[in-house]
Amino acid sequence: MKKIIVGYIVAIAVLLISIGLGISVGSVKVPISTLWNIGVDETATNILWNIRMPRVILAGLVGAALAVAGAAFQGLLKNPLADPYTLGVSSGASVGAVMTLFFSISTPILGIFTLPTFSMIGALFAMFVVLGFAKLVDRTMKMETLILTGIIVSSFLSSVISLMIALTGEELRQIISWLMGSVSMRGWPYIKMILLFITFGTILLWLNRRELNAMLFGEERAKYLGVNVKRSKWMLLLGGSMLTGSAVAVSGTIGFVGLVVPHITRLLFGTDHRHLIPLSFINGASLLILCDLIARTVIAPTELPIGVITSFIGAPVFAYIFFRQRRMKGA
Amino acid sequence: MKKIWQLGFLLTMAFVLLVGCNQGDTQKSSTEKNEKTTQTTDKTATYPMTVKDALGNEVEFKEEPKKIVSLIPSNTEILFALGLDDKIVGVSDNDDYPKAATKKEKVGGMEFNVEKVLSLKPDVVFAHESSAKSTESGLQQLKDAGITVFVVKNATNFEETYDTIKQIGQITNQPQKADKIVAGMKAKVKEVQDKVANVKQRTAFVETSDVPEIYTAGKDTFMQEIFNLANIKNVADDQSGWFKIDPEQIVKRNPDTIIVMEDYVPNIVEKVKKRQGFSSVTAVKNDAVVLVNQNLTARTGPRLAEGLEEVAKAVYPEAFK
Repeated sequence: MKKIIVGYIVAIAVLLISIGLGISVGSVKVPISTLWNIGVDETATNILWNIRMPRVILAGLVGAALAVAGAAFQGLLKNPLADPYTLGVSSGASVGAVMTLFFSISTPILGIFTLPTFSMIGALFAMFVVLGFAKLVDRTMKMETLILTGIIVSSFLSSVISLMIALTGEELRQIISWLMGSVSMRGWPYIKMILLFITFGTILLWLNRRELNAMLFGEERAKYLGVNVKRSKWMLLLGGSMLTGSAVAVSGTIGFVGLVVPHITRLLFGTDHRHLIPLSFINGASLLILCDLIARTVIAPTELPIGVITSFIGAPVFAYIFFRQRRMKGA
Repeated sequence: MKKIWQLGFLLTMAFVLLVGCNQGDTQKSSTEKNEKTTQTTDKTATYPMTVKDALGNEVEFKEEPKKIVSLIPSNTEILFALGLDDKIVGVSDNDDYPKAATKKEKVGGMEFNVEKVLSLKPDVVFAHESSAKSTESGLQQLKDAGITVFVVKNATNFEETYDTIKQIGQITNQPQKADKIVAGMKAKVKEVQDKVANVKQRTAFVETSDVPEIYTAGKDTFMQEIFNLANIKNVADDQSGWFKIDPEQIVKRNPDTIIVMEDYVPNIVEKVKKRQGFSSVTAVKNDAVVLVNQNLTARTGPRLAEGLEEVAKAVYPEAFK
């Protein structure tokens, strides 16, 4: 129990430090007093409040969403390799977004939200295809069936994306830069938009924390423990998809966070989903904020793609914790 | 999904290279076979002639080429400007100027289709130094099939562009026309320079892609050469080559004019003006966000002087009234 409390304290401390660093450090030096002296220096205010702050918050939200979705999918599918991408949800989101760019769809009502909206629709559509097909194949929707269906659907959707890329001319650059993933220059409107989905998705997963724990013993056992497996599964899948869909919709495809953060958290603080979900949320936010900070400062004024940093930092950290944990257990 | 991401990364890199390579310098490889003829080139195009290409190969032309394939837009524009419409049998997929070019047979994009080129039976294929490395095996296949391949130098300034135009004019037996084109370009450059000679120098920022990945030109780029000629201070000239810039930096550097080139993004000028945090930028305040056709400045061909004029006009509109 103590370990968990320490876990929360450390995680929150790291998050606060990350946010502090993320806001105060950048390729342009801005006096931190700009935070309260709004408008005194117009350029500094703009940089801090309209460029850097939304960026840090968005990175945090996206990281948190991907990490929580990853924790839920890994628990639900009992597959250590599961992440928000496994079920084809993010491929669906990508197809939605790439289609928007490919056909240059623009709807006056949605405005700048056209792409995220279509991306969300793509994510949900992919999820329903996966679930529908899995149900057709096997009425009980076993985990293996779900994973295989996810792979079928996501590889099909990936080829659809490749096809569209092959067929585009000029829009290619737009599509590629979207697929690369970034939290830069989205601004406050995007944050408001995804906040709702992320809150709702996280609550859905949180409500099923006990069910997730029970399902670790297998679906049959969970049933005997009084869990409505079917309902929980649907809620978890819906919540996870919503989180993934909204993250992909605003920031493109940022890999690795959803896979690694839950693992690191689990290795350090155990598998209890009552704590795994909130801790993954906090750690995911910290990780992506820090990765974005590095991406935009390490070779400033040039920016690196954030995905490069998530894998570059995430993989060795993951390897180190994995190694230490196994060694300590062995000893 | 990760694969897509990686593919995306590679393709973006390729694009950056494509854009960057117009300015970059490729190292010369001289692994190709050397022809043993040692004739010198001559102003009044007499065949057979031997011309050294960008890779250092002595390329022999026994007679005036009657069927020409061009593998890159800048070559195509030069060839059309030389009045060779009838002789051009194939162009690349990216060729969109002049209009007549779009009606020619397409031989592929950056990776051209070797079979297609062979089927057109050209007397000469004009390749380009910037893509000579990536298409090396394809070019070799053409050579093996007995087709003359001439690799055009990747011009890094106006002088080299003039040389390129003259060289292609020489090979295709249009030396006078080439001279005329170059003279016209020089006149235009002079005209622009005269107009901006006495203006109060302004700063500018140029971008070739929209958020979230804004790419801009630093020093050692063709863009910088254009800025220099047009008496414009590039706000990003502390960096070298084309690079992805942190948006904070653009706000901080506060350019007088923002030149946008990503015409493939709908309503890009309005989008730039509405970007979060850009309201304090002088260019946005003064409504000086201008769209300039990227092909004019990126293609080292006959329209380059026009590109210079467009850029100068974007920054000093009052000088062109």
